Amino acid sequence: MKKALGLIGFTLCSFTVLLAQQGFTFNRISTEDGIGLASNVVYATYQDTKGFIWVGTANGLQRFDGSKFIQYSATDPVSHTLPVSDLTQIVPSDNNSLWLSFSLKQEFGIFNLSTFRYTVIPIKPLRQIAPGASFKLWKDSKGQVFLSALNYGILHFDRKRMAFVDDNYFNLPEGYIPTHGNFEDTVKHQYWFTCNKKGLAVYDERTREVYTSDHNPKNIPLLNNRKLTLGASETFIDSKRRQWLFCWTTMQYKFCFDSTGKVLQDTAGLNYNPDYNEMRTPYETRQGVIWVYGVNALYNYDRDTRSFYYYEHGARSPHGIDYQTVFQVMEDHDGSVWLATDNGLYFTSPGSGSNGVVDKLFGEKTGGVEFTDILELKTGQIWLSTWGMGIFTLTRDMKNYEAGIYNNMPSFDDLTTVQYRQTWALYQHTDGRIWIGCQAGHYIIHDPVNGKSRFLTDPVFHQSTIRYITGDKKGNIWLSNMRGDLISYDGKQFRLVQEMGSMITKILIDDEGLIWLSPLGKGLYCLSADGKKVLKRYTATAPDNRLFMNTGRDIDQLNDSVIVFGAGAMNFVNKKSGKVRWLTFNDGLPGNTIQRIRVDSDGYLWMITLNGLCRYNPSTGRITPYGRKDGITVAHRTVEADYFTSTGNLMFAGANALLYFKPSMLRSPQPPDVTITDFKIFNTYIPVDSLLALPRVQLNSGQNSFSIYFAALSYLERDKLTYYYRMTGVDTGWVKADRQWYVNYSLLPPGNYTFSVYCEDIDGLRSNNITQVSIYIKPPFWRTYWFMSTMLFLVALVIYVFHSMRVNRLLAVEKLRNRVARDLHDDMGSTLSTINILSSMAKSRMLTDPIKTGEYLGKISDNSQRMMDAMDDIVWSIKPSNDSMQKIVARMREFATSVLEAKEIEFDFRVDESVFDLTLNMEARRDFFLVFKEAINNAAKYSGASMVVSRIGLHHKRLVLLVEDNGIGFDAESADSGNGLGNMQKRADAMRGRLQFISRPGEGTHVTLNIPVQ
Amino acid sequence: MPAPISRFLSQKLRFYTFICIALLLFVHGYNLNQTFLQPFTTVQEPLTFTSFFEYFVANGILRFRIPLLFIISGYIYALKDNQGYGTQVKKRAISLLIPYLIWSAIGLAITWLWQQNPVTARAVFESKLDQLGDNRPYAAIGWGGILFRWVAAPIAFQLWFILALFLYDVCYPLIRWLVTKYPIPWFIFTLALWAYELSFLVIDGRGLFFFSIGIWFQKMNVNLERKPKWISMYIAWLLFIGLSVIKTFMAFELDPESKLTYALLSILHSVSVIAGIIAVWYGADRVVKWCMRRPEFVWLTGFSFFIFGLHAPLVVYLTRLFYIFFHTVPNYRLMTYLVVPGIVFVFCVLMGAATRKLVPQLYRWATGGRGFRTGMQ
Repeated sequence: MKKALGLIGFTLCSFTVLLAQQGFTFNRISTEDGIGLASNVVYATYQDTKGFIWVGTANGLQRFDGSKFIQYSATDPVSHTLPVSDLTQIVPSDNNSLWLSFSLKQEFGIFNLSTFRYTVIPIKPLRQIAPGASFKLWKDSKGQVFLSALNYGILHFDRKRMAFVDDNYFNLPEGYIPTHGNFEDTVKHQYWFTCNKKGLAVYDERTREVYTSDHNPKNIPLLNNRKLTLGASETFIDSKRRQWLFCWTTMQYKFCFDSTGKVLQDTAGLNYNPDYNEMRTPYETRQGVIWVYGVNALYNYDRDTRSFYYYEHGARSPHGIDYQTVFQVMEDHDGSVWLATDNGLYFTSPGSGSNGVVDKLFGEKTGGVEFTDILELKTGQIWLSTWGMGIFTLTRDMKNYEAGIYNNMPSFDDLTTVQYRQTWALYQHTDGRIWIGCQAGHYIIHDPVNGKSRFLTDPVFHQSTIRYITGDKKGNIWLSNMRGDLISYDGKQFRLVQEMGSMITKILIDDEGLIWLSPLGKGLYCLSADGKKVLKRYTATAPDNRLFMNTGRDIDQLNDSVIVFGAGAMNFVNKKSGKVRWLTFNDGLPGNTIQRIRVDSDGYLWMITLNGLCRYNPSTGRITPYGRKDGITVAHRTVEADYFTSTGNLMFAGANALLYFKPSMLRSPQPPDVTITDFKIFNTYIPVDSLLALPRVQLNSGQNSFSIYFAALSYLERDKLTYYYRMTGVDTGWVKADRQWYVNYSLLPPGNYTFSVYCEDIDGLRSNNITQVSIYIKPPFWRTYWFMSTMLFLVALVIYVFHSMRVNRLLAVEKLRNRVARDLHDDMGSTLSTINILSSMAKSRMLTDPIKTGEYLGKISDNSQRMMDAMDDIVWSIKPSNDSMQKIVARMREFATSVLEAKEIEFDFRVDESVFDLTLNMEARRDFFLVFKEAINNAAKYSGASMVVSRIGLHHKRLVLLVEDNGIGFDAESADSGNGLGNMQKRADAMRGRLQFISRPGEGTHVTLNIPVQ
Repeated sequence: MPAPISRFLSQKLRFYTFICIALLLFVHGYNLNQTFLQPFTTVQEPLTFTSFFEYFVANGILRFRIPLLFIISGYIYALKDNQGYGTQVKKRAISLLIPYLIWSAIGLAITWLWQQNPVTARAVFESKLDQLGDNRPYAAIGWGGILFRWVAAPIAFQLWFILALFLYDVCYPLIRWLVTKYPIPWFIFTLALWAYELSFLVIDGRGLFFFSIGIWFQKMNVNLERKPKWISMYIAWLLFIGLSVIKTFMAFELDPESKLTYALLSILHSVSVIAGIIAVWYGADRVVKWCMRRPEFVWLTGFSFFIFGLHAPLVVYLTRLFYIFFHTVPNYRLMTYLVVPGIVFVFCVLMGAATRKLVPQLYRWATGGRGFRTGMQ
């Protein structure tokens, strides 16, 4: 008996402690999950401003968006190769790039998130760094980046040289070589360095001095404590200005100091560790939770007990974590803590670790405990009945207190004594007294005012265990037992009201006073307020309005007309219409094994099934399951009792398990906006950051098959969100994304599209904004309007050109005809007219004046000869075969020779060879010839010369004709421009040429024609 | 003493001055998402009939107006350059600077009035017309801000033209010297300023080329009434309309980030504007004669400057107001674009007529003395 009582006492104590320090619950992400984690050895994590989690693994850099990991490699052709190797650190560089440390390769670089360009930053130390030295990359609050090399010192990133250089940035004294456990105190603008051989060194940014134990002008307390600080390996100052210091001498010692240097006892718990361990620099979350981690070490600091809680690791860890080394601890934007370990990536569940969700499994260490009922006293204390351990009595803040229930227990035989501790039911009457139903029909009435208990039994129970106690509005107490009896107590006596024949586990008195019972295997009974009359019975075999099954465990009232009955599935019984509706596994229930039901103050229905906890929202009909990711791990075992406290907490309890939470803790916040996480064209990922920075995504006509990946970057909500997307121009309405956080579009025609996506949580709450991406698929250029309009423009231009050519051709013909007509008119018409007149005159004088007639006939002969010559010239000039200069020259030679020989004038005619390559048009040819002809004629007729010289040459792209004689000459200035000279000048002008006469009496005549040619 | 211009040329100058200003209403009344259209602006909205039409009109075929106005201004100024520099600058100060300040103040007053009513204030806010990007009500901006807007950054944004013109007039002797002595380098330089929309010190580069062309025409006694034989009207109209259409499609369809797009649009713009000036100047003589024979048209031309001064920011505010009231009506954008400029035109003419009749002195100051000699006075 003493042993049993001792066990009870131990259990009570441990329960209290465990409530205070029940630890975080972890969720693991590993390579086995199939979401793309490249390696279970995760060294580093970092969450960027958008919410993506960047992960450094043994196989390089990855990004996690909640649904998948993307492996990153450098795609830019000018980039260095991003190693697929141990990525030990990720440090933010700026909003758009990350520092990466591949310290095992001694390689460090910057990775640009927009361009995927990776740039290696070389190390330029002043002396050699030992092979195998470890490195730590770190950035201070000013943005300066440093690289600590063990047993060497600190290198500083020089932006100009784009290298890590040894510039002794912190002016550390000789021999002070920092370990990796340095810390920047942003409050005092100091940098703390742990130099294990020398102790601590402090660099003061404002004075640019280094303080050590040997030089401590500011009397920094910790520097004076050289004995403790020797061998310092890690230091950290938390938000409460406590300074944590780990030192290695023979083993790792842990110290905590206040700001005066006084040693605090806050390291309690840190020394508890069954394994060899090494601890690294602590990490403090925004909520002030301090984490200590390292090799075989993971602790978090409990502010209430001012001690550390050690997380056991291994397959039996109650927290779901297994590791050998925790490399990094990081808090994300939602407040979840992420652990990078050598056995995968872990993150904490919301609410866990903060008493928001008390979720405790009582293991074999305490012998186990079976909770059977829960009661909140009017004064706020919580009582839990147990099978065999009596009553657990807890204060409002869940701390154990002694209620003295069994203090005055009379001396019973051993069996009865035990039976009074085998408690099953709790009820507090309106008079304040507490009824406790026990094994074998015993019951206890405890008066909390005087602390006295009465240990009773009554024949009405037939020694059958009292399973449930409740009360009605009239003050009657209603009890049920395992035998299946419904018993009432009116303050004076017990009365057997109904005998159901099987165990009654729940009595519900609804707001109308009707009594609802669920005898095992017999369905659901509705009794009159006095319990005597069965008003309605619902069974699984009824022809209509059937129950899902006859055996139910719990009953509750949802609203004024609906009773909910957990019998296998959930049965909604409308007590007014008598209709029954089911909520089953097919509707989203975790299982058709409902054990407990409880309606909270907001009208949500909470259910415990053998598959865990879920919540039903009657207004939307949606079911939300809760599990490990929500910090709920033991719900499936809390099947015996439930309670909704006046403080708004829900409690479920069962064999070795207690679940206690505030429903609002699990309620979804406003869902976050959805982020476009990736954009994949065919099978190639496109750098999404730079893509989305554009006003619209422009794709070529061949890039019309792509995938868009999206996610709300909240790792708490991600499993409870439903995504809806729509592509305008493709989708007619919103499309629900069923468990797929991406959508494929294939062979989209060219045009403008807008992709929209939003998410909705389980309660129907939508994200604030609809995320949109404008996409433009360019048509092939031959289908663009600009190309088509350009073609039309060119067609119009070509039409115009052809039209112009045709018009010009017609004009040329017209011009030719006009010229021939003019020439015929000018040359032939006037000559024929003259001949006509002369012939008339000859005719009239033929008989009277033969001499005159002979003169007339002579003139007629001359004119007709001239006309023939002119006709010959016209025909010659029109004839295309005469277009070449050879023909022109030949004709000129022929004409001159014939004319000058007749006058016995010597003729010298020379032509440059280059002239024969020229081509003159018809008019120019004719004009050129006629100028020559006129000049020769003049020489023959009037010069009296014995010699005529003619030259034709090409000079500076001008055709030059020279005709000169050695005749009598004439006075060129006084000569009138009769028809001959005048015509020559006109023809020269028509050819845009220059005509020059040089002549003086007695000095012969020089005629020069100079015309431009092509 | 320069030769006086012919009556027809005088009518032609007056006709085109009026037409260019009246068409301003359609240029400033567009309502594309891009609120500031430059020659090379691409459009980031779907190609629809409305968006195509507005861009084609406002940033295409009506782009010849300002260059033509600058040519006319340069030509007329050069005609009268025998009056003496001081006299001429003084006259231009009266006819340009004072109207600048008056119309800038009127623009501020209109804006302030619209800001007094919640609905019209919303229209003002949504038009985002403030050149300093501060769309707060004037009550919140303070006197310093209002003074700065009055003098340096008028809400009546079209006044940049007369300020630029005044500065050209001030620099006239230098410009004339350059035009007559070094015409080819000067024209290449000023053409580049226009094509690249650059400014030269405080001088606005967008009009200098055309202002100089106007001076050159006058100084070279170029006969502006007779079309040179080498000019083909067919080609001029084809380049003017065809390239404007092509450019408009390109603005919707080409890559907005590409420098090639920028270059292509700029080149097409330049060619189409020059072709447009030639086509419009030489291709509408019959229309000019027909219109200028009608006294009512000549009467309207008297309000050119008044329309120029008053139409903005009114046309922009009214456009936004139409949006507020009619955004549920089908094709409300196109309807607004077609209707609002007409309403503002009528309003400006009526206001001009009333002002000229009732307060002629104010009208005289506001227009720099323009618009008193009309056919129907």
